[in-house]
Order: sequence, then C-alpha cells, then structure tokens
Amino acid sequence: MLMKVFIAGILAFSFFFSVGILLARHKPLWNDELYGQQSTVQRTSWPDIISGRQTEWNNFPLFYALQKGILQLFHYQLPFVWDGSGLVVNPHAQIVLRVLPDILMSIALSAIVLFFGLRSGFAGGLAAALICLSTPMVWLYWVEARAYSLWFVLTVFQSLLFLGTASKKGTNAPAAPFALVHTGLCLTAPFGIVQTIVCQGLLWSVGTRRVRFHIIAGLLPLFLGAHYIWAQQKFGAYLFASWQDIFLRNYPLEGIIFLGVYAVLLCLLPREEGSRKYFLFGRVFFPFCLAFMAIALAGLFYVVCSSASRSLPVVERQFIFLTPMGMIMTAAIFSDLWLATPERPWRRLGGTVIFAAGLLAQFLSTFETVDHFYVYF
Amino acid sequence: MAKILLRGTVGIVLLGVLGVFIVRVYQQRDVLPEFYQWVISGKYIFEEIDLGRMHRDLTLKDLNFSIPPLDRIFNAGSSTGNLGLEKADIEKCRAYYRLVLEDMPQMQEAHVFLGFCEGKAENFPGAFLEFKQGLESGAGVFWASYDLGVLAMMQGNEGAAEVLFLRAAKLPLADVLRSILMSKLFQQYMQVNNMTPQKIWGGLNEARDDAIQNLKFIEEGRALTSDMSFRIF
Repeated sequence: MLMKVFIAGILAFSFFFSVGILLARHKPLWNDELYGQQSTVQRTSWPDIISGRQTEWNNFPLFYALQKGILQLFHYQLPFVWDGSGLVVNPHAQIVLRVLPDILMSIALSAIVLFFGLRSGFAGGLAAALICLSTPMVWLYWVEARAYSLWFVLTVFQSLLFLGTASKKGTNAPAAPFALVHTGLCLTAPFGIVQTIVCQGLLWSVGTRRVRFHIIAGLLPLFLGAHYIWAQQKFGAYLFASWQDIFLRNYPLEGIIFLGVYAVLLCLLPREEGSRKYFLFGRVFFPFCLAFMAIALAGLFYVVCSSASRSLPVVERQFIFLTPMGMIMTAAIFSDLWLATPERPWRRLGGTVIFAAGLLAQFLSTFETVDHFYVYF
Repeated sequence: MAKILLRGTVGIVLLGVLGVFIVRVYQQRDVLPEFYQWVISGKYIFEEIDLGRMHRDLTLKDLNFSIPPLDRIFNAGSSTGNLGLEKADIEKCRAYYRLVLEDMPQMQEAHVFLGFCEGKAENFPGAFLEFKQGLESGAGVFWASYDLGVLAMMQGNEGAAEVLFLRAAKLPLADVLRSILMSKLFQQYMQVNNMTPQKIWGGLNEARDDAIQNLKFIEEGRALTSDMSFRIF
C-alpha cells in the first residue's frame, strides 16, 4: 500500500513538475517577477530580507529567503540588468527563477490528488487532478517567480490538515504539522496571519481545546508574523477589476454551484439515510471554506467602500488563498458523492455526468481567461 | 410518499444543475475548437510564443493601470468651457485616448472621446478632426454626429448642423445602445461614472430629442437652443 502511494505521489509530482517547466519555458518574465528578483532577491541583504526591510509591499521574508538561498547555492544571478521595461524572454532565466515555484505548486497539486485518491480511489484522485487543472489561478500562478506558489502550497497543507483532523472526531490535532504550516503562512503573506487565526478558531470549535496546542500552532507563529505587519509600508487599496471577477477567478462559479448543491443535499437527505454518513469531508470542510469566502467578500467590500488614497491595486492574486480551498471543497464533494453511491451505479453515473459537465464548463472558462491573460496554456 | 417527494426534489435540483452547466458550456461554445486543439496538441505549451501578442496584451494592461480622471472631466458641467477643470486632468485624458489610439487605431470611438476632451480644452479644430474620424464607424457614431452638429451650430454653420443632427436623429437607437454597451471604452466610462444601460438609453433619447428640436428650429429659421454642449452620453 505504502509503495503504491509513494509511486502515485512520484508520478503525480513528475507530471505536474514537467508541465510547470514547459509553462516556465514558454512564459516570458514580467515586471513583478523581474523587480522581485533584481531588487529584492539579488540586491537586498539577508538581514534586510529577514527583518522585513525591503521595497516590496509584501515584506514577509520566507519566499525571498528561500529563493535567495537557492540562487546563491547555484551562484545564479539574472544574466542582464532589467531596465524596467515590459517582458523579457530568456528561457534559461525563466526556468531557473521558476524552479522553486514549480516545485512548490507541484507538491501542492500532488498532495491534493493523493489525499483524495487515498480516500476514494482512482476516481477520486482523477477528479481532484481535473479540478486542479480546471482552475484558472493554478495556470496563472503555477510558475510565477513570486510568493504565490508558497502561499498556495501552505494553504493546501493547512486545509488538508484541518480536513484530516476535523473529520476524525475525538482525534487531537497534531501540533507539529500545524505549527510548521502556520509559521510558514505567517512568514509568507500578511493574510497568512488571518488564516492562522481562523484555522485555530475553527479547530477550537471542533473540539481541539488544548491550550498548549494553540500556543505552539497559533500564538507563536502569530508573534512572528506580527513583526512584519509592523514593518510593512501602508498603502490605500483600490479594486483593479470588479469584485465579482476577483472572487470568481479564485473560486469559480461551478465550484460555488457544487457547494450550493451539496448544501441542498445535506439539508434534504434525512439523517438516517445510509448514504449520508459518507457526506463527511464536504460537511467538515464546509465551515472552513465558507469562513474564508466570507472573509474574502468582506475584504473586497471594505476595499470598495474604502475612501483611502488609491495606490495599491487589489487584484485576483491577493485572494489566492481561496483557490486551494475551493479546489479541495469541490474534490471533497465529489469524493463524498462517489463514496455514497457504491451500490447504486445509476446514481453514481448521474452524479459523474453532472460533475463532468460542470468541469467542462469550468475548463472552458479557465481556458478563455488564461488565453486572454497569456499566450500559453 | 415523503420518500418519493424527497427523491423527486433531489432529482429536480440535480437536473437543474445539469441544465445550468450545459448552458454554461453552450455559452462558451466558441472556445471549444481552440480548447480541443489545446487538449490534442498541447497548443501554446509546445508551440513557440507569440511575443508580439504578449506585448500588445501588456500594453492593454498598462492602459488599464493608467486610467485618467474620467469622472471629473465628464461630469464637469454642461457648457463647452472647461469650467474650472484642472488643465492637468484634461491633459491626462487627452494623453490617455491618444495612447489608446496608438495601440488600437481601429477603435473609432476613442476618437470621439478624444474629440470630447479637445472640446473641453476649447481646442475646437482638434475636436472637429477627432469627431470627424469618429463618424466613420464604431460605437461613437451617434455622439460624433451629435457633437459635430453642436460644433457646427456654435460656429453658425446651420447647413452642416442640419445634416449632422439629421444623421444622429436617423440612427436606430437600439443599435447604438448595443454597440455602446459592447465597447470597452464606453464600458470603462460607465464603470467610472457609475452608469447603467438605462441611463445611457435615457441620455441617447434626450440627445436625439435635442437634435430633432434643433432640426425643427433650423427649418423654421428660429434661433437654436443656446445651452447645447458636447456630450458623450
């Protein structure tokens, strides 16, 4: 069994990593990546990166430190001086700068596929893979030499850890993995702090009430993150696109429809119905996902109403934490429905057809979005 | 009985969802051939990149980042003067529409927007040239006719004003509205000014009524209404 999981993991990782390298090879470097590489990674000293004294708005150090460490290890620097103009095509630099994001993203996607593959077999793994690949933000930020892939992978692990813990009633949440993930989140992005607080709160609400756990996995990471919030430059934010576009790019419409249908099924199916007991992952992850959707909407609403000076454009990538949550929620729904219908082939077939239609619609709109943004896909 | 009712409800919900997904796929049917191409051949992943197209897309993004203070200039008042508008604001708007035209010379309505800015800056020869180009085609044809009529009227050229107002009055407003709602520049302008299609429709009707009234005045040899100004909605 362990060997099978290991082989499946290696295969999934190799597939995602190869696609990522092809994307990196075909996508020119753009403004933000080049600025981050030249100004933050190459020209900022280690003490300045670690203390959050850098020119990037996101002064949280983990990604820049990892990138700087890797590039120093291989003695790599940009082979040109970027003058601030447009796109730069340099296949070698495109791949080298994006190896770390590609590895992180491939780990994240493989983890989701394995997690659901282990629960509901090949169909669950395949559905999870297709859900991942039909999500626009995955393609847009798969190989971006910035902190998004790190934020993405940490959010995936946080969500899966929460799902694993909350679905096993009476099991105490393991402190070490949560502490590791939350420390990573609090050192990667300002919103990581909110993610840590919400996750700890939800864990408390599902029964994990050991004070020691909350100190190690919650308070300590929060103290680390608070320093960078303190050192951060303050900007007034404004919406660069409509709030609907920003939200739906991270949590596609089809995912929201699946969520709604799942909620309806949960309400309609009587408690004693045999198949309802399989409605576990979706039910457990529902409040987690809903909490972050509500926070994202509240954040967007705040920006819409804010009258502050407009200097920081709010775009879809600042809400990338929603993407893995949406993917995991949709995969959990599929997994639950698949497990609930083992001896009812017609029901299973009907559910699969609906899911396939939803995924095709999502694939098409993703293709259109990504094709509009970049040439590759 | 309750069980049948329950199953029926679940069935209806699921069929409804399937219907929604089928409609979503149908709405995006234009993308299907290209998507199929990608699935089959790995288009874009294995093909060489089209850097020219990427640069064009990037320029469009730059344009999105540099939207000038459109709300201030378009809501500045009803007369042709700049009414205390900051010169810098007008200049930013003019530069913006010049940039749009540089990148997308086919976007005829950009000429109308630029003509409007020139009018606000009281550069009437410049406004004339831009409105004239906007007359050719695109979403700004109605306003180009109307604004050129206003300009002709201001210069006392009743013959030209009559031709232009007549042209504006004869355009089918439903088609004009449709093309306006599809125009990226008008969409941006509507967003900045918090406009609804109903407001645009109201503005078009109001302008057409003005044009018809002035045609009547010209016919009767009476003085034209004096409070007309350049408009874009």
